[in-house]
Order: sequence, then C-alpha cells, then structure tokens
Amino acid sequence: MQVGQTDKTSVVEFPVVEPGHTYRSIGEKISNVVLNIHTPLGWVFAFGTGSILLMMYLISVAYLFAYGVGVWGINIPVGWGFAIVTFVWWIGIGHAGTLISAILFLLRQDWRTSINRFAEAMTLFAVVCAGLYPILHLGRPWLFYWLLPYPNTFGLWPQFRSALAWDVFAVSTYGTISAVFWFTGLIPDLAGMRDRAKHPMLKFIFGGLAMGWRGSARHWNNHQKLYLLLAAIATPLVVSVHTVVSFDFAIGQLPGWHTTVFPPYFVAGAVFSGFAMVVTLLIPIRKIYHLEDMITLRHFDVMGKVILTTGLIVAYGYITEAFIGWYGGSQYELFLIKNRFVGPYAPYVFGLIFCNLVAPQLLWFKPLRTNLTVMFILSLVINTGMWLERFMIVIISLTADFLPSSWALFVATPWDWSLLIGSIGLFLVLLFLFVRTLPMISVFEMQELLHKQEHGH
Amino acid sequence: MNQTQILPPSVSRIGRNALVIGIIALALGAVGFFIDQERFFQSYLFGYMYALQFPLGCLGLLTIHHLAGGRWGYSIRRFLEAGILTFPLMAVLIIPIVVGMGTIFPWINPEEHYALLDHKAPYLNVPFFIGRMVFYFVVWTVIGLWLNQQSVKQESVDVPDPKSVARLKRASAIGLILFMLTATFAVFDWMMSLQPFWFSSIYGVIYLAGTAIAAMSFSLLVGNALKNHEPISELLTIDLFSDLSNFLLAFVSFWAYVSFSQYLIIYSANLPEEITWYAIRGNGGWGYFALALVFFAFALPFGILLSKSNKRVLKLMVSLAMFLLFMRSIDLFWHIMPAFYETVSISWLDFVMPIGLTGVWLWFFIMQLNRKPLVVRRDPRFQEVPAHG
Repeated sequence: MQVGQTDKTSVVEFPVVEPGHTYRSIGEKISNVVLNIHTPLGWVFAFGTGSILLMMYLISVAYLFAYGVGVWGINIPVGWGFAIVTFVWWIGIGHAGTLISAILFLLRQDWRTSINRFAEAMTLFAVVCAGLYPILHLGRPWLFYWLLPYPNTFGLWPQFRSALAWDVFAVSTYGTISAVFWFTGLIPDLAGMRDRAKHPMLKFIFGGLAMGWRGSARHWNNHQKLYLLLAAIATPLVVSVHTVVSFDFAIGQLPGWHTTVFPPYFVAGAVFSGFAMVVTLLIPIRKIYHLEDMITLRHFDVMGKVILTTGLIVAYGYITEAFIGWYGGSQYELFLIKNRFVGPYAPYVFGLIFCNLVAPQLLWFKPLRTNLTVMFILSLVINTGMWLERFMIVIISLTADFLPSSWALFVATPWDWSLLIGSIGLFLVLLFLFVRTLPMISVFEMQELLHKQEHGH
Repeated sequence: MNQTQILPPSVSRIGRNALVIGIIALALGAVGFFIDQERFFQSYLFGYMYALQFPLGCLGLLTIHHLAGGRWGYSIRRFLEAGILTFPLMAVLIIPIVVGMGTIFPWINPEEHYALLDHKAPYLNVPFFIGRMVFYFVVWTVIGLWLNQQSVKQESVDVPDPKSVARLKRASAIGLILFMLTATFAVFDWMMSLQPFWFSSIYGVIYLAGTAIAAMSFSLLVGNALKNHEPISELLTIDLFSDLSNFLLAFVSFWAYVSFSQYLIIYSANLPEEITWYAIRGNGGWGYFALALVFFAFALPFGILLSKSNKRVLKLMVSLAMFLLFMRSIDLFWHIMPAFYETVSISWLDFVMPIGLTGVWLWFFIMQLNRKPLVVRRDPRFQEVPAHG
C-alpha cells in the first residue's frame, strides 16, 4: 500500500499526488464523497461520537446558564479556570489552517493543496469552539456585545488598554477573514458540485452557493487575484491572533505570565498544536474515504517536520523563560519555577515536558514521520501537552502569586471537564458535517497541481 | 581553479580597499585608546557587535537554506559559506573586549555591593564569562568548518550525490540548534549584561533578527557586485534579487515584531527593574533614535518592500540594503550606548570602530569567498529546481 516508499536517503520525495489520476478522476473522487448517498460507517461512528459529546456540551452549558460560573472550580485568585485554558488551546489549534492556506500558498509549497481546504475548515471550527469559551466565562453571556465599542446610552465603552479588548478584535477578525478565505476557495468547487449533482434540490443549493460561477477566463482571473490578496491579508493574522492572546498574559505582572518571549513562543506553540490536530484528523479521514492517493505519506513527512521545528521553537521559549526567570532574580519568579516542579501541580508540568519536549523528538526520524500509527499517537500526545502547557501558564501562575494569604488551589469540577470534553464534540460534529456536505479537498487546485506535475509549469 | 578567476578584479579591489580603510580606522581608534580609554572600549564593543552580525546572520541563513531548500539559497550559498568562515577572525578581534571588560561590564567591578549581583554571580563571573566566550567561538568555528567541508565534499564528485544533501541537512539541523542557543546566550552576555539588573527573555531573538537583516542585505550587495561576473551571473537574476528582497521584508517585519512586543510588554507591566531600560532609551535625546528606528528601520523599508514592482528594481533594492545596514548601526548604537550614557553622547570613536572592524571583516570575507567556485554545481536538489517560468 505504501506506494512511493523509496530509499530514504533519496532526494526524490514521495509524490504529492499518486500517479494514475486524471482531471476527471480527481473531480469525481472528491465530489463523490459528498454526492454519494452511501455514508461510510467510519463517518457515522465519528459523527455519532461527536453528537454524544455535543449533548454533554449542551447540557453543561444549560447547567452553567442556570446556576452561573460557580459550577466551575474557579475561585479567587484563580478566576481564569478551564474556560481560558481551553480557549487558548482551541485558538492555538485554529492556527494551522491559515498558515497552511495563506503562508504556504505565498511560499508556493505544492504539498499544501490537498490539505488546505480541510485545514481551513478545521480552523473555523476551532475558532468557533474557542470563541464560545470567553463568552461562557462572562457570567452574563447574553451581554457579550458589551465587549464591542458601540455608541450607547449607558456611556459604556471597552477598556482599550486591556489586552482582553484586543482579543475581541483579533479573534473576530481572524474568524471573519478565515471564513471569507475559505469560502472564496470553495466557489469554483461549489460550481463543480452544482454541475455534478443529480438531485434538483442539491443543484439549487450548490448553485446558490456558487454565486453564478461559470468558469470563464474573467472569473478565474478575478478569483485568483482575490485569493492572492486574501492570502496576503491572512498572513499577518496568523501571527497577530496568538500574539494578542499572549499579551493577555504577558502585559500583566504575574510571575509566569510576564515574560517578553511570550509572543513568538505562543505563535510557535499554536502552529505546533494546530499541525498536530490536522494529523490527528487526517489519518482517520484519509482511511474512511480511501484518500491515500491524494493525502500521501509526503504530507505526513512534511507536517512532521513542521511539528518538530515549531516544537523546538517552543523548547527555546521554555529555556529562555526559565533562564531569565532565574537570572532576573525576583523572589516571586524564583518561587514560581520551584512551584512548577515541586508544587501541587508538578505532575502536570512533568507531563507537559514529556509531551511537548521529549516525545516530539521522535520526529527526527523519517521512518517514524511516515509511520501513521506513530504519527497518530504522537499528535494526540502533543495536543495533550499543549493543553497542559496552557494549564501551567494560566492556572499554576494564578494559584500562588505575590501574597501567600491570597493563595488558593484550583480543583476542577465535573462541569469543567464535561465542558472541555464536550467542546471536542462540538468540533467533531461541525467537522464531519463539513466533510459530508462540502468538498474537503480543493478540486480545482488538485487539477492544477496534476497539470503542473505532468507538464512542469 | 586559478584563484584570480573566481572573483572579478573589482571585487578583489574592494577587499584590498576595505583592508586599508579598516586598518587606518582601527589605527585611529588605537589613538583613541590613549585619549579616552573608557570610551575606546565602549565604542569597540559597539563596532564589534556590528561586525559580528554578518557571520552570525550568515550562519543562521545558511543552515535554514540547507534545511528548507529554496531557489534563493543556491545562488548566495557561497557568500554565506564564506561568511561563516570568518569566526576565527572575530575570535581574535574580541580580545580587546576581554581586556577592557572591567570597564565595559558594570557587574565586574560594581561601585557598591548589590545582593542581586550575588544572586547572578554563578552566571555573571569573569572565568565563566570567558569560558562561555571561548565555547561560543569554538562552536561557531566548528559549525562553519563542518558546513564548508560538507559543501566541498558535495562538489568533489562527478555525479551529484543524493547522500550529500542528507549530510548537509544533518550538519545544519545540529548547527542551527547550537547556533540559536549559543548566540542567544552570547547576546545575553555581551549586550544584556551591560545593564546587569535588566533582563528580557526575547532579547537574544531581537539581535538575531537584526543579524538576519544584516546578512541578507549584505548578500544582496555581494550579489549585485558579482552580477556581471561569469559564471555566477546566470544565477543572479532579477528574480533572485526579488526573492532576497522578500526575505528582507520578512526579516524587517520580524525584527519590528519582536522589538515592539518587548516594548509593549515591558511598558504595560511598568516594573522598575525592567522599565529603566526603556526609560533611559526614551529620554536624554535617545528617544530620537528610537523614533528613527520606528520610521526608518521599519516603516520606510516595510512600505518600499511591500510593493512587488519595487522589489524588481535592482538599484532601489541595492540602496535599500545599504540603508538597512546603516539603520542596523543606529539600532545597535541605541541598544548599547545608553547603558553608559544617560544623555546622547556621540564620539568620533563610534564612527571609526564599526568602520574599522567591518572593513577588516570584509577583507577577510572576500578572501574566503575567493577559495572555491561561486556556482553550486553538484547539489542534486538544485538540479531539480526548474528554470523559473
């Protein structure tokens, strides 16, 4: 099955598309995932699991709305509990999509083509999961629009010196641009679906979404210009969102939050976890839909390298943060370092070191990068590690700040856990609905790629 | 191959002139030693950190090129390889800093006793400081030699050898990791410890981002000097210069990003041990330097580099590269000198030192550049890169 498994020292890499495809076969294979009446069992299983977890999420939210945020383990001083930990975790996962779509597009990396649509969709759903958390955390979530600067009779206005207000703009801009970018890429394929669909209802829906796309030269010209422009706009957003999230912590004075390496280190950590999540999801989906010829081992090899690189940048962040913590000589910083390793949450910290620093070193070896069992387990390990990292940053720092009299431990309640696990359900349901209803691989870009492979231009 | 064929006479002449100018400038600087010893060492450190950007930047770019590939790297690979062979020279040139370290670094002979310095003493002490310095140069020199040796080996065969890529990649992966760590701590040692109470975990990255700007601008200028010289002229196309300019855009943006993040984080928290660094650098006339950096080291080059058509005007890019190299000196001056002077203080030594040290470095660089053919012929990946169409 492992076609293209050549001598590992060879510079001839695995192909991005396996040989034997034509323009037509690509189009049919991808659209049939959606248009076929038959639904694979794997999909039913994944969607079913997601739905059960989503139920748990909805129950947790209902209970939260009924009884207030007191149902969580948050207290004074740990006002930012799981909600913010998980918010940062999801928003980090949402970074891979735009990086793959925009930056790799500008860098002309051809391997992005078969995974960009999927990664963008994943980004959108991760942003949905992330964005809900701060709103749920508000206490009075129905007043969330107070976060926006709008003229009102209360004289209410956001505090612009707070990074939390910047977050509102950063995340909503990111969500908007990602959605527009994703939809722009979809238009030609939606028209293709319209033309292939048999059922009049499907024709009507896809036709409406395709917005009159006829594939004329002028359409293509405008489309390509817009796509390039959106890629350029989206590129700084990849960096800005997690930078602003890191400011939520870094501009404060709390030990463990306030360190200048945070912005690039958060961005690297986000890409690290985002790629891990893409790997986690692509491995089963590739199997369910037999997409081995379009999502090849080359993709996993390259993604493994990206994960390794960003993991090393994260390691650089840990090293400089710890060194400067000691070098700065503040007794509070010194206590924080000690508290992380021998304090009540030490198992979390050691878990994080194993997941984020030790385990990813396996990716140095190409046979492991192209071994999907290893990659799948490793991607789960990394995602756990990144959640633990945010736990360390948010919660351990808050439990023990400057004044021992104000210290308190944080103990998560079942509602904390149910909301965390439930949010994975929300994510899975959205993602598998997408896989079933829209082309998850960009047909026209794959056809273009095939053309390039065959003709060299 | 005959030595004289590798570089055109015009470039060899630049090398000789750079040496003459460099030696004259350093001789003038030596006079300064007898006039104002303290200032001599301070300006020397400034000039040294300026010259050091080039080999460090070359090392970073070369290892990234080997790991990531890309058409741009094959054209300037020989420049970068020559750049990383200059570490032995930089190791010799650092001796005056060792001699004058007592006057440069306030933690060595503090005016009064500080408990905080006792805390830092396991790191900030003279033997360990010198030991680290030796270690950094050993690491950089070895990586420089290793990468060059692998590159020579790659060229020494008749048929491109796929294994040579794997070897270069391995050397680069190890090299890049060691480089990031050693260079970070070198910057902590030689620049951050000028104000020993101050600290910032991103500080190493800010300097390293600057080295990338410097090395990329420098490569663009070297490419420009060789653009009519056979056979490398076939690689030095306007597409290449446009690619290099794209990198400049990325590096300028990254430098601005990390510099601004550090500022915003320290400004917002407003902690006394941190904010003093900016308080000095925002007052006493130093604030004008900071503003100049915002407008001329970031906004102006960013604006120019954003336009695709600008990047294809070679003359503009060459001027911009020179301008960026000038702005690097303003940046480093603003980083280093306020540690000694609360109000702006400019001495003639601040001009002769960077000119002298960079001049001597440039001569040494051109000597290294003359050692092997400029065009990469036996890299299997390069042969796969399709002609741009």
